[in-house]
Amino acid sequence: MTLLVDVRDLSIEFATARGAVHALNRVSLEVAKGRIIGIVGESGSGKSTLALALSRLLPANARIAAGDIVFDGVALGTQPERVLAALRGARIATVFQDPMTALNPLFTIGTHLGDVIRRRRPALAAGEVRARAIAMLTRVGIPDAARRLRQHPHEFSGGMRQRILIAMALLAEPDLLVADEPTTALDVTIERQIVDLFRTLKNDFAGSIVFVSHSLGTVAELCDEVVVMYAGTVVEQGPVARVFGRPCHPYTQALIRCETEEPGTGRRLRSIPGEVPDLVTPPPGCPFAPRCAEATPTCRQAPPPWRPQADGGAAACVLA
Amino acid sequence: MTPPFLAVDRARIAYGALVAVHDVSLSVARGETAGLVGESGSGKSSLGKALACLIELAGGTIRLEGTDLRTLAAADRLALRRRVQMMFQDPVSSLSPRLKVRSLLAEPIRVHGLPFVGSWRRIEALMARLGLAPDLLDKYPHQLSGGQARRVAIVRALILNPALVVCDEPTAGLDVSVQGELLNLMRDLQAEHALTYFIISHNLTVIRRVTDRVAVMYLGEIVESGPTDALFAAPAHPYTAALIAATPTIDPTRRRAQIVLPGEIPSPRDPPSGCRFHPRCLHAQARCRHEPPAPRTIGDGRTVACHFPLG
Repeated sequence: MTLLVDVRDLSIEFATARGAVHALNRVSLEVAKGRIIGIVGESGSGKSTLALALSRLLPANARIAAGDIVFDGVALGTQPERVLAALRGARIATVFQDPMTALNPLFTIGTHLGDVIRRRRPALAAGEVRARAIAMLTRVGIPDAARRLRQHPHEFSGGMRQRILIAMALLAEPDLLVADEPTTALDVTIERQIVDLFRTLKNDFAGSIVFVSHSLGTVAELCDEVVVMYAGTVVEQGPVARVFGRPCHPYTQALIRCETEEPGTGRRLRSIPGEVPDLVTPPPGCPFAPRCAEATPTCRQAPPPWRPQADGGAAACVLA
Repeated sequence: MTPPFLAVDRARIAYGALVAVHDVSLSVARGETAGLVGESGSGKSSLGKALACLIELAGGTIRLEGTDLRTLAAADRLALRRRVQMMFQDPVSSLSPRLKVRSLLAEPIRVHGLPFVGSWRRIEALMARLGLAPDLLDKYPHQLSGGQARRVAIVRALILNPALVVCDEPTAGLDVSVQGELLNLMRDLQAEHALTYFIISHNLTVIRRVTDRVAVMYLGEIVESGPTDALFAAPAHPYTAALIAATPTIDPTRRRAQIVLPGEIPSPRDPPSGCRFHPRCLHAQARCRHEPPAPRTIGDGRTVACHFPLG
């Protein structure tokens, strides 16, 4: 298996008025060519930071404190902005959560799509650019594509805008497609359509996909492998069937119980007591230890070991 | 026969020419947790606002314990507000950013002219009950976590000792690991304060787990209603079935046959003829295109508005 992305021990800090926020803490991630990797986690887990770090698309107050992102053999951490700009939207395409702010309200959809096509293939004739745009809009499920090329973003529904972003990403013919919560803002029947679209894309898109979501179900239905994040760290990783079928980390186990367990007597619902730690002062040991029912004093003192599992993947826990 | 606690009869809500809620009827028993589920543009939030008397009906009636809300509001709007409270979707933006928690909590006492000392004692008790530390009183809404802001909104709603609480998306924006805690707390408060809940949500998992009865809305109309367990076990309306099947699950054995609805919810400005769901329905027949289906009873307290119900 050839690695397209190799993130090694990546730590990212955000400078804030309260001090450095340790958004990612020694995170590793491997993406093989042609695979779909899901990143799941709750608010503040660092899943979006990790996804955006893949093309070093980080806000100005972010700093890579340790580690690196290796994309197809090139270490991105030290590359000048010019090299990164050439990668973004070409070899690495990103689909964002909010499609309205990712599209320019002043330009037609035809202009958006044409720009992407001409960037990839500058010599293409105007008629051919248009034909490719129409073909791609049709492929992502937008009917009457020739007419809709002349329309502006506000003339499309949220679900249709998300399809347009997916079309733009695919027209770039990228090696890596990063989708950051692409279905979170959508209604459930529209979310189902978009997940279904990604599922059909899987068959003829040759590149790799990193799909970020807070929904375990969406990742389970779509991805080959899953990375579970908590408080800026990867707590568990592995093939989807193994991680959801036999979760090893107490956090993954608790999260799955919250999502799937039916209410018992008196309709009590599951939750995980406590709150996510403040990442300005992350706990010295396992970040989940303060909320973990099985934590020992050792868990609170030293970072947990990374334990590979016989049936695939690994978990960061002494109990795994 | 005593009238139902809350009875909505052919309620219509219009924004100019746009009819957001189209002749909807439902009833809620005292002490019950009722749910209203639907997607964006279904009219569920408009109906919720009408229950809290925040918007007026263009037709039909809403009766609380047999009395028309309009009559109650005309007699004493503040008294009605004390009986029906609304909890809004986004707790942070529904709290004024310029006021500290202390002032936000004192506001209902002042507006309703309640005795201050006794009311403040009640606030302190409620805060302790909801696990809110007294030092939060000196914070502004933006300094609260999502869970804390939601709890402050609950205190604000309960100070007035309401009978009915309308909750619009009570878990929106909350992580799944903390949703259970909040919903458990709401259930405890329901028993302690004899509350009736009307919960509006697009989240089927939450609706299924916490409500006793549920109504499903589509494009301004209720397409199906009934006891929650029965409705989820065997949905009768094709739209309900599609909604339930659309929710992604991690359990491959529980994954139902995929139902991918074509198209999107049409504009309420120009609703489809006949059954409003027919352009997206996988079972639609010629009759569905011209004849709107009337809601009909299908046993054990269930109704469905479909010419060809499932199952």
